[in-house]
Amino acid sequence: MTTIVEAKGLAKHYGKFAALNGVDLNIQAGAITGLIGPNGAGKTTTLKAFTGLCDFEGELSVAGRDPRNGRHKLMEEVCFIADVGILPKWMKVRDVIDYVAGVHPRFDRNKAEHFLATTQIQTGSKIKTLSKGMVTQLHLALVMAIDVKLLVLDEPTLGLDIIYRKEFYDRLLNDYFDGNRTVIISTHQVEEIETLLTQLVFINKGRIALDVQMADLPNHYTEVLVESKNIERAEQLGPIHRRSVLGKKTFIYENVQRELLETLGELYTPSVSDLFVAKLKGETANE
Amino acid sequence: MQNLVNRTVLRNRYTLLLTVLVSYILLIVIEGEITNREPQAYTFENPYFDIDVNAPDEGLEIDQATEQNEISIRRLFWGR
Amino acid sequence: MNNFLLRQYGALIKRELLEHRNLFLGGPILVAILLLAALLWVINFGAQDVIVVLLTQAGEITEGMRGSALAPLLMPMAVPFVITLFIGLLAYLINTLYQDRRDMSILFWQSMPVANINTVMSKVITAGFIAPIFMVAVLVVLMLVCAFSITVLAAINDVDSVGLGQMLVAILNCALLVYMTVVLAGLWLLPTLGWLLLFSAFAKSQPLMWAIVTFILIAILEGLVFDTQYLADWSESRSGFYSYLVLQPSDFFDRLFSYDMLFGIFLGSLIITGATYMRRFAD
Repeated sequence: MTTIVEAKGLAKHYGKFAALNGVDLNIQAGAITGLIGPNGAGKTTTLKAFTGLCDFEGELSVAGRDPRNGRHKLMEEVCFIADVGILPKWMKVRDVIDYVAGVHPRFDRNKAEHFLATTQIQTGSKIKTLSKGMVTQLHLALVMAIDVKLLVLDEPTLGLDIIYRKEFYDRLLNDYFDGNRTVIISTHQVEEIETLLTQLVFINKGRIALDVQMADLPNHYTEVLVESKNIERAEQLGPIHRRSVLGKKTFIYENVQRELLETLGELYTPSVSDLFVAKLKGETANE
Repeated sequence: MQNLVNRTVLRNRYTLLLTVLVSYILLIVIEGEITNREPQAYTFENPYFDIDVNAPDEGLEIDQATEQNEISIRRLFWGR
Repeated sequence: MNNFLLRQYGALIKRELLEHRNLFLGGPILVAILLLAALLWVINFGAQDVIVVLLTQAGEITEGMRGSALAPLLMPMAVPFVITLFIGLLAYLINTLYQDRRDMSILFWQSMPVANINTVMSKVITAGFIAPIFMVAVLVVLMLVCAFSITVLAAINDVDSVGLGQMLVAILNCALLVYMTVVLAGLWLLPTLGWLLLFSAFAKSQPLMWAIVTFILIAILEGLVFDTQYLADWSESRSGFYSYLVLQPSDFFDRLFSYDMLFGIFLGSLIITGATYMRRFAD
């Protein structure tokens, strides 16, 4: 496995405000990485740094390059979709396809047109007449027709209705991802991408709060449906999160042996959203 | 070298602008010193050239502005 | 690779023309329509005897002239077109690296493997070389209509005119001269062109204000720091049109290889390089 993104001490300041404050992150080729954090956590800044769209301090290598130098070379290997609606509004669908075909050496026009044919989008339409969902579909059609190593998606489904969102990720997984390509998705809507991911990264206040392979998640994090008689013992083991579901208590533990926990009640692997709340709440409490 | 440029000139948009403006004005001043550049004023009365339409091969002749009828932008700008 | 670069420039310039077709094609067409309306008005409502006198005089002056010699006489007709073009280009250049940052579409443009230098140069080429082609094409159509009208009018009024063939030669010659003049003017104004692009890429708002105010400020600063006025002198000595007016094709190279022209192109390139690097600050 080769490393496609390697960040060390990545930092970015806007005046005195630190948008990124020492981010260390490795992403292996072939991963689907979820970059998850609340609004303003530094997700967009991180992804902009990865794609050479903003300056930063620290060390960063993406597809073997420093994004600060030769962004255009990097963009032959990397595709980027920012928050919806950034396709130029005055252009027609046909013009955008022509443009990408003209400037991108790895664009396969037939693929893009084939993909568009399965949607409602007319090639003669102006982009400003398309709905948000359609613009995202179009953008996805464009990048899926480009043969790159790394696809970076920044809140790609923001503001879309559930049907478009579901379809977006279905397409991505079924038509695009082939195990060799790497995808980074940032979002604050965790539930939607939970099942896609191979690597989970939480980011909060410009720092990495969690970086774990999804396959390793059960080894580190356990959710216990605690039987009421065991609550006192459960508290002593130091849960990182507690919540009540239908009158039952569930606790989440970090790096506590399963053998110990099994005696407390039923064990589960926590959902990403519960883990997200647990980790971020924990962080705030520690300050 | 690349790093030095990255850290200083390309630090942000303001350092870059400053660098461009400083090099621009320095070049203009140095060039002006070397060539002793004088303003060529506008003249509104004399045309700059005569064209003989029957013999256009002779091309055009530029007349230098004379002192009396020059209206100088420089004078408007700086006074004198 | 070279082939690819060529294709990339093709796509970049096509994108500029698509976005600004109203400016580059609509502008000259509007001017041509206005001029044609004026011409029709004169022909219909002007005093017929005056028209005949004018036609006769024009016929006498131009008698025996070859088409190529006639060409410079037609050039004043281009003046309203050139003025319109330059106003349009001013608006184009000051907005072109600014607008896409405002509407965030820069994130799309920058996500394509196009070097900043190619983006910026595609705009320079569009402004300096491509936009004038559209202007000249419309001008030629207008001149053809005029030539045809004059020939018909002369025939009706029994006046000797230059003849349609000679006029055709004159029009094509004139088109070449006008195009050369406008291209030379673009090169002559390369520092200005670069200046507009620089502030278009720099300003977070009001790029034109930034461009003008900064120019005045550094002129004043030059006076304070060096006690010289070379910036003002230099701008002023470059403001006449005799440095880029082309009245015969060979003028083009004389003007191009003049010292002031080359020094201006050098300074312009410096500022355009600055605009290129400015492009990396996308926010």
